[in-house]
Amino acid sequence: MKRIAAIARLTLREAARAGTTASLALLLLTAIVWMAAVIEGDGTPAGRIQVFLRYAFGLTTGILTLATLWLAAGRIASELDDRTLQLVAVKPIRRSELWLGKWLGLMGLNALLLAVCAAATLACAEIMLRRTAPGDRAEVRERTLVSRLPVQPDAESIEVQARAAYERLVKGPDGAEPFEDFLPRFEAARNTVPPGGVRHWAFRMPARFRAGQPLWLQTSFTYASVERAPMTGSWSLLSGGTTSLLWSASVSNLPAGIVRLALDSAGLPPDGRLILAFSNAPGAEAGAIAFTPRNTELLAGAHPFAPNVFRALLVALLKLGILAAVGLLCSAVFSTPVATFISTSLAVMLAAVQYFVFTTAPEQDAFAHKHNDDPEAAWYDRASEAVAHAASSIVAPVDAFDAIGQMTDGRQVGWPTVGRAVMTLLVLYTGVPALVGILLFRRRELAGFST
Amino acid sequence: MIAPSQDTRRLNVVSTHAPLDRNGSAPCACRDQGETTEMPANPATGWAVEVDGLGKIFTDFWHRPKVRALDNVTFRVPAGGSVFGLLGPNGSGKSTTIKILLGLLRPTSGSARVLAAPPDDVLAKQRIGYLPEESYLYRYLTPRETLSFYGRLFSLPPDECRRRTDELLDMVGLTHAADRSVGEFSKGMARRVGLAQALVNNPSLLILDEPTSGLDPIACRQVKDLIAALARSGKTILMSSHLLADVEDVCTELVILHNGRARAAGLTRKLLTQSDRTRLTFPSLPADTLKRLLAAFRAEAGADPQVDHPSLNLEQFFLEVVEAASRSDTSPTGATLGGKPAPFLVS
Amino acid sequence: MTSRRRHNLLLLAIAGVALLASGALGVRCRTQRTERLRASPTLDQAPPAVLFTTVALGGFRGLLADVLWLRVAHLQDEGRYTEIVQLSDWISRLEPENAEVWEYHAWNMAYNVSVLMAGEEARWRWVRHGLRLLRDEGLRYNPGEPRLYSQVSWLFQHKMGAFSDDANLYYKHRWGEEMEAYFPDGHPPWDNPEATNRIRDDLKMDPAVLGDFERAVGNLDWRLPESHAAYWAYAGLRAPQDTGSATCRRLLYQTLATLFFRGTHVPDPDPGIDIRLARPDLADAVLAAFGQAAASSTDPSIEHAISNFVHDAILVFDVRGDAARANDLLGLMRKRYPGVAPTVDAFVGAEPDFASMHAHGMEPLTIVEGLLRRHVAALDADDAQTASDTMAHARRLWTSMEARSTAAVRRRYGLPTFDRYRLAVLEDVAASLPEARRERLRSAAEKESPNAAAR
Repeated sequence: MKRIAAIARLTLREAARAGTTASLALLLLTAIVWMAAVIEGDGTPAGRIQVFLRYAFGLTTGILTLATLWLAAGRIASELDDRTLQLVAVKPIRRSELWLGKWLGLMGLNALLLAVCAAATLACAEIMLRRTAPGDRAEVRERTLVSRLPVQPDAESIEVQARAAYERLVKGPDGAEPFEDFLPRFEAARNTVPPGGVRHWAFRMPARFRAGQPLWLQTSFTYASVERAPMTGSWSLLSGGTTSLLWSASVSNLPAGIVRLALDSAGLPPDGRLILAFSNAPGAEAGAIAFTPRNTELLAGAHPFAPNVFRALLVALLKLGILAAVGLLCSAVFSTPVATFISTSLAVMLAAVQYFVFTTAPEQDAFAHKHNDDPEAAWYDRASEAVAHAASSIVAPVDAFDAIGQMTDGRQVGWPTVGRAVMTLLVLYTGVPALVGILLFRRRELAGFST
Repeated sequence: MIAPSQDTRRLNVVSTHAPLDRNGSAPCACRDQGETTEMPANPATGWAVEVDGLGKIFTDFWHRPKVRALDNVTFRVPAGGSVFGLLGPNGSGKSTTIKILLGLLRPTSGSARVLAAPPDDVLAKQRIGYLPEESYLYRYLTPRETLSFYGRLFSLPPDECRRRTDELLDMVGLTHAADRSVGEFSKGMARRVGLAQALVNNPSLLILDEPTSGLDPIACRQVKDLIAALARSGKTILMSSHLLADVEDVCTELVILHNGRARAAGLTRKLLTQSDRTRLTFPSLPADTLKRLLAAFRAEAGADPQVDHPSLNLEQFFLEVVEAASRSDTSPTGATLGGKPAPFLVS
Repeated sequence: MTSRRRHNLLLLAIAGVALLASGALGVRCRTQRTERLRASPTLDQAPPAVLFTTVALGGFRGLLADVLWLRVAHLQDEGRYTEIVQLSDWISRLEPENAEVWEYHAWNMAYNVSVLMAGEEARWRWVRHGLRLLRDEGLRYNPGEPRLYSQVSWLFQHKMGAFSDDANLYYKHRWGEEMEAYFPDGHPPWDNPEATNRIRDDLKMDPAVLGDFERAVGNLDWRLPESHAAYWAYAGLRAPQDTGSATCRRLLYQTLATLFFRGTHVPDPDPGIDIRLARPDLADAVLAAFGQAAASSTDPSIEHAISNFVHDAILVFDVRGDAARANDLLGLMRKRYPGVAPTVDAFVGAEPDFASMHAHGMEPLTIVEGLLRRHVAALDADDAQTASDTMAHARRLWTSMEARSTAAVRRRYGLPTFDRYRLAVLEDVAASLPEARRERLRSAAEKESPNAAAR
């Protein structure tokens, strides 16, 4: 461990003495301040601060992504080029220790810069908050500078119910419509509440959520009647076990869109099980409304923002660790320019595939699926689709950890999430390139002819 | 004047392998192209380095053979107090051999063992010190930081590391520049730092690649003295060089490489001794006495001897001049080696 | 020849071909670039930030704009709207000379995102974002692009002026409040140069164009979004690059036609009520706009639109008792279309009602208004019979209109009660009468109110 620590310390020292740390810090701080000056958000103070936080942290991690790749790609290769590594490799240090030391050094640099940027970003946000009218500050604190735990309703096994209904109603000798088309219709019907109808969601609140703590409902709906009648009815909270009424409130004439309601959690039962119910008003005055599937959740508690920032940045740091490992892997095998090119290209291409094809156009997946079934599709279409799917299967699990987005949305990045990130991002996604990198590094000769 | 004192400038090496024969040569575990030499019995202290049939072919990125750097090289370096020279012109395979011994390269054929372990054995490296041909040091570190860093790689306790750092910096005469970046140093100063880092772990085996290359004559002499002192303290030194005079001065044994092959090997003295000729050295005599001596010699041997005055080698002369000058000049400049090895190295 | 030499020759050959190809492509790129830049000279006046990104990013602007655009779509799917405004702004600045970019993002914010907001204030904010992006930024970089003018016009006409949005009354109300500051009592402050400059600076309306428009059309109430819709359609026709934007022409006659039916706003303390009366004086302006559109296009829908409007206008003038005007329009109809009835009475049929009107939405209320106007005139003339007949007719038509709609629809349209409506008509008619007659009419109207009947 001492040797790994010595290498890590050397890496940090080099970054400091070479001016890398200072340059990166200056660039990041300039970007953060510039961002604070130009961001306008959606015109509201809360929106402005929220967008600023998201973009400031996003830009920080974006710049550090590229910097990490470049630094890592040059780490071993450049020391091989100038032969300083020879003098280290002849010491009683394993190649694995050398590699890990370099990785740890890069992680240390990233951690330091993330910390500096986080402090600057939060400071800018605080200044923006102080310049907000006193009346708006409460909204900012409530909507943005907060950490609420999102609680999803219990799974409703929609697909199972849909399958049963499909078998019973739709599927027949004529082979009516395919199940893939029936499922969304069924789900939409399940989420549509006619006048006088009721819709329930069952929740299991986490153990650490106490009765009396702030609790918000967030859902969204559209009109399902010709008259486009707004939402009029009542929302209730019932105990999951006894179904006794804990809280109720009426709403009227809420236009379609996102609905946020403050709920009263004073009557939370000990087992934490709640049933949320919406009762649509009866009669001709109300119209049917359709809740957006899977868009109803409770936001529990109101925890401090700073610890949430810390946890989110931990996850971001783990993502940077993957890049450091990939860069070092390339550096262990190739020369500096080749390693830089390969690692950067790989990262950019994988991210681009994920971003363009799968993140931003989920319906394209259906298109791609249909396209693949199309006998007329060209071979290169099929091949590129297969490659894209393969790339996405690698990137998607990493992309799923959008801790920065969650944090800036005011949602809690919990320790369980951090734990999952450690297992996935560190153990798996960093561990595999690390293993490969170390193996290749062990096999590599550190001197060449007349070097 | 070649004086017996010249011998005092040579290391009085006590060889612990098989005793010298009448000719003063020791059986050298070396095989060259034209001779076969029997492999000797292991010395009592073992071999520091064992190289058997070592071959190395460098390939390009596509694994196509490019250069054959070594071809069937075999030699042994005894452990404990010997100075072994790896001699040869540029491109003969000296550095390649050293790099294989240090685990930086892998042999294509044959084998090498260092301190009875494979070259990449981490435990063995604990006892090896290496001074490369160029000082591949981290330019942004100071000498103190450099030694501290390498000391940590040897898992030296901090106090011990600090003590050794101070002693080594004093030995190489860089105490005054201990906190300046190595990048600001001259080549000679960087070389000293390199030497210091090679000794920080008090190695049993010290591998020096062109140790005197680029040094001025004084520094050169000091390095050679240091090598001799280290050998006297029981360390094994393996040094490669193409500077013949330096090798002749310090090495007790040597192997000569050319085009990747070992061409000659053995004890230095034995290799250089012209046993078919004899030299007499005596104080200058009056001319007629000399004439009578020569006549008697002519009558006895039937040949004319070569008669001249012996001469110092240039290094000796240079050092005497400089030493005399130093005695009269009270303000020395420039960094010099301390001359004495650090105490921990010889304790 | 050694293999190495062959290898080098091959590389040289490839390099040579690549060089030639890049040269040829380079010529093409230069030509296209010149043409494009010639088409958008306004970047010279762009702020430094936009110029910087345009120059610094070069050809990557388009790629970056696409990347951000995809993100906007993604955010929208996820329901994260806060960033959309910022991104839309940046996308537009990346490609400022691309009108489609401004058009899309403004429409996206004003239409797609606004309807998903909770609360009218939030929705209004998003509509304003869209308007600001298009009018204040898009037109600044593309002053010669008629499609942007038509989009601004559409935003006023459809989003604010029409009834498809549940919060349309809120938009109308807020717009009216804001415009009061620029157009006191709804009229341009021609005698106040400073106020006129504020109209140019804040609302981006050219006072010269505004003046020409009013001279061509007549005085409009500039607190109404429809008036602004008409202005922007008119301005689009005068844009440097326009030589016949069909969309602008269509929007102009549509908006003027709307103002013909609903161009007078009667304020009401209840923001959920929107009382409109007709502007029959705009008939000539509407016909002129129709004429210009028909002259520059062979689209048959224009003829249908003319025919429908003239038909409805005849009904309106007839029910208001303006026989001369009705006859004039009938003459116009007879000239254009064969088989039209010879007299107004024959044209209108037994009695005017909604059934024969081509206009829909709230436009048929003009028939009720016409009847109520005749009722007020009858009251003023002490013609009890006519007053009673017209009142009964108006009430009947109102009741049938209510029966054909639901409460939700009436709420969205801001329909007042019949009593409130008739009082509004009375006040409008009485405004031009002497005080004494006004009071007499008011007390007569008071007697007709349901409360009086109850008493």
